[in-house]
Amino acid sequence: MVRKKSLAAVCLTVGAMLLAACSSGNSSSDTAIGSSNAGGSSSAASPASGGSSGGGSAATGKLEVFSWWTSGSENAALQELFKATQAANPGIDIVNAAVAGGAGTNAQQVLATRLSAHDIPTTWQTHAGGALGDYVKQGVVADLSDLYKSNGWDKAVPKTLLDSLTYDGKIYAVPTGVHRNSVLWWNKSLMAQAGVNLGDSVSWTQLSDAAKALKAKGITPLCLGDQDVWTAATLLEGMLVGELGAQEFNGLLDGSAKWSDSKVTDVVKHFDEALTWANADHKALDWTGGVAGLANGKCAMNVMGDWAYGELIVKNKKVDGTDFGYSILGDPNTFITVTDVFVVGKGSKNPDAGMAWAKAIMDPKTQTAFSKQKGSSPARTDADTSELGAYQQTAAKTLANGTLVPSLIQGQANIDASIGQAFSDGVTLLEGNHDASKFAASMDAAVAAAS
Amino acid sequence: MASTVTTPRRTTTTHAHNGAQHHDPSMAGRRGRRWQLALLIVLVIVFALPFYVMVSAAFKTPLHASVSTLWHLPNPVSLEGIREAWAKLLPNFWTSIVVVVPAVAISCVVGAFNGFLISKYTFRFSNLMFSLMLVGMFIPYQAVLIPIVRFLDLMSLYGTVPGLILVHVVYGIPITTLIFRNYYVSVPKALVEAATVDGAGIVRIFRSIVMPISLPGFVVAGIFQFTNIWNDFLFGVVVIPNPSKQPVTVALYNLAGTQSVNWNVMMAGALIAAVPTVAAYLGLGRYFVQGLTAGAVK
Amino acid sequence: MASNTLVSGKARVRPRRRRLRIPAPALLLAPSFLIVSIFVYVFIAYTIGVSLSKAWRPAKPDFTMSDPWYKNYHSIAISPRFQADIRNTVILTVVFVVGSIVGGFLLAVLVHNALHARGFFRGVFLLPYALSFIVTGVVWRWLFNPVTGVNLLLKYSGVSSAYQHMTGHKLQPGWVTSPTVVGDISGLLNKVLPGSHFIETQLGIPVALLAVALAAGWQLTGFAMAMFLAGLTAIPSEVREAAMMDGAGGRRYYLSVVVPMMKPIAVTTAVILTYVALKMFDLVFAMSGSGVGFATDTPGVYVYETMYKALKPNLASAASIVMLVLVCLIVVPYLARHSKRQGTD
Repeated sequence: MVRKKSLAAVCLTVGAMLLAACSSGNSSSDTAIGSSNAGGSSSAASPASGGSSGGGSAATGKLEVFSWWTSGSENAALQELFKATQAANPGIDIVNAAVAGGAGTNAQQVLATRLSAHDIPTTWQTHAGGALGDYVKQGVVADLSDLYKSNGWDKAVPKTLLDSLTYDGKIYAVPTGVHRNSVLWWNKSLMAQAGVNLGDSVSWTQLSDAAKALKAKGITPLCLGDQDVWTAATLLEGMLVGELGAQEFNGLLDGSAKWSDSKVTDVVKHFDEALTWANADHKALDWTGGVAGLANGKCAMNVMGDWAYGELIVKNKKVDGTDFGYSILGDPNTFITVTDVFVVGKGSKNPDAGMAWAKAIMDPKTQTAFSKQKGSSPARTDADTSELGAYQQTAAKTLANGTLVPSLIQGQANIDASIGQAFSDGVTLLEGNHDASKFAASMDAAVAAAS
Repeated sequence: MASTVTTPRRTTTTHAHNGAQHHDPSMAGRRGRRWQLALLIVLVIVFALPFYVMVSAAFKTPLHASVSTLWHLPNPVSLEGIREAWAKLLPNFWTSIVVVVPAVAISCVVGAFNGFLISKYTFRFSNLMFSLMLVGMFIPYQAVLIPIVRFLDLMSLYGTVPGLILVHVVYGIPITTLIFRNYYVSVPKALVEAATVDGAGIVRIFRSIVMPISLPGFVVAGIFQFTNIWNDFLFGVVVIPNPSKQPVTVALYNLAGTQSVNWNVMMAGALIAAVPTVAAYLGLGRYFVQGLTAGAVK
Repeated sequence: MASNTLVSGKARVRPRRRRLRIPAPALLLAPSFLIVSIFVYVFIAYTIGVSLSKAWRPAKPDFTMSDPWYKNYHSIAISPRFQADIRNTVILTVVFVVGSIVGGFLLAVLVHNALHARGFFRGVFLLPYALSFIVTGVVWRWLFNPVTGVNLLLKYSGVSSAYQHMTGHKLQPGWVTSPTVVGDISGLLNKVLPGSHFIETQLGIPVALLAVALAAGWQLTGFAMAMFLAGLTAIPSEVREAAMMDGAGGRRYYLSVVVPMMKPIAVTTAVILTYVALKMFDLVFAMSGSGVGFATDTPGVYVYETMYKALKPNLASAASIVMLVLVCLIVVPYLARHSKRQGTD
């Protein structure tokens, strides 16, 4: 009797909960339909009006900018974007909704909950590639193709870059600047001590010869701070692109080439060997620790995106060409891109402000001002680079004319985001088991699962 | 005092007689105690090491506040970190207080009432209800963020301080209920029974008989909740998307950028953000231990 | 569950029950029970829905089921990373909870016996609890740096050379950077359980995880100490005197009198610490990330990265449901039994 009743009570409770679950689900999807309709109509109208007026009409009201830039040079660069937007639209009220941490992952988390509640920011930062594609599929980002065409932006942005912003022929984001990933930085005096001379381009043989020469002098060849695995993965990505070439590397991502190919596993083995050259505490440092090691002369070479340049110059007070130099693994005309982009929310409260924001970003002057602060290269190849540093000018030239490869580890390629995650998970395991064939098998499986 | 100095031997004996453990006058005990004191001091030093690292880093320049120089004393001493952290955290302190005070108060009162009901009354399903509520302690918050936000949105509480308070209160109830239940188990049942015979209702018994003897329990549950809610980042950042209205722990996280972190600012920020919790411990520390005394021991 | 009522008032309760009268205490408990139930069970139901879905996305909540329905659960079960995570959670929780309780008890005894400055000692040991995990994680990462951290202290304090003198080995612990897994029983398990070959993770104790447990213990041992300190203060002086008179000095007094008296406190503390251990995402994340070969990865980090970096909320939800079920299977029955025992006497 007692048992029966308690069973009934449990069933009743569970039933009530499920009912509540269903009803909450229903009503939220009602609001979803409501707001996406409203968003659809307004965002369909605004690019057209923006295009025809040619930027003559200024936007007003609230512009909520959602990013993961909260401090240092990133924040300074973001402020440049605010300044430019405010100059063109004096009536606009900018709300800086930045969320720090986890290389943007915390921001993604907040954004996901906001999207689920249909509280859509006017504009937000994202990665070109997989993450952007995901927003496109969810129908929460506005199509900016008309803005691109009427303002000629599509001709100013390199084609590979544009492709990573394009889904089904429509362009969905504006780039603020482009970082170059996996640059080989080296300490000039340590290299001189070991009698090593590195040119613009470094092959695997040259790299391992340099390591041997450095070791012979008792110098730790590789600076690494891979507490977060993406830094080690950055080295592997640079080695893969450098040794295999851009085309073969892209083939690995779209499934037309196999990771289990011995050409690829050889590179993975090289990477595994390179890890043995690193400073003993590499697993206890973050990427800035690796850069600091190079700056302080504790180790000689570091492979990192060109945000390391700012870290060397600003924080460690080193001089380009005197204290350190840089090379590219493999073809120096290859540029692994990490692009900062913003999308305009579809269904946000003030879509006009979002369009005004996009226009301000794509102004060549803003592009220069932004990159000056951030240390990146302007995404518009026609932007003035004469005010930028010597390194940035070289990088900007390669960006305009070279072969561009969207970074896998930074989630820049137009592929499922889970492949990037599989790559970093694979490197984590590889660091433990040193098994190149297992790594290759897991990558092949991830690529197959995503397609 | 003067006699203490002139006749050390007598002092020791007097001390032993007046001390708490006067029933243990053996030489071995005294040696043991001296050995224990030495051990305590070593442990204090070990416990203080991370504090040394934090405090010294907070007063360093950005370049020196790093892992390679973690043992060094700040040289030069820089107030840059403290100043920057203070300016950036200050606006968010108020939100934290507005959230934490009611959230702690409500979750403790509700927990106390629940704990009282569960420990002093036997009714059907009381243990089942209690167990089902306890599951709430172990729910992975990461996984339920989206349902939380959708629910709050439904109630028009999303993005508001009351919404954040509600989330903290509800997820605090299981643990406060547990703490108070264990506290009230030691309160004699006769107290409640006598009042029931006098015709007092449950709510009145709770208000006029149980509440007045619950202060120690409130201190325990209160400090636990205060620390948890004050240091919460996840709910703060998700429930309130507007940065100017977010709690101070969110602002603390925002001191770190994506690419390069100035650790002096971060460490200084951590020290500043911990001031209210530390103050709570020091101010209530005495009651804290008393509260646990009355509650946890049965 | 209802045995108490039955035993205490069989004859009187029966007729009441027929009228379905709900007792007042139950009614008064109902509001908080209901709201907690919504926040726990409805939200979990939602998460289960996500975990079974093919491609649920935040702005496009499509609950179409994957095919077969358990596909996401299967994917995480065969993932070496999630296997390592489960292993790590179990080890981290056990080492941290047991360590903090034992350490907290010893600290409590020391502080309780101190003649001076008890408040000072209590304060020092309790203070770490006030700090935010995200920063203490960084501090411990620095301290556990094998080149510049505590290893330097060991070297200059002479501990290293003493160790080398005694054992002939160099004392250079890698702490969180250590890839070593001790006590691997995978091979054994394969022999005993023929179907277990899908477990690719080494089933042992990653040394790096012990460093994480140490850092977590630093932060929470003071809390355990405060709990035990209260218990020690509450022991009536007569009990001690009686024990002394029976000739139970020092150690025996603690082992046979004090420790049994501390059991209820230890249980409450263990529950609270388990609660903390399962939420220790920030500390681990800031301190060591995933570690070499996922030596220090936790389900929290896995869920977070799968959800927001790999953009697979269905897999992430499946992982959280598995974790919740495991915890509930272990902790809740114990709690229920414990509370029933206490409730009856």
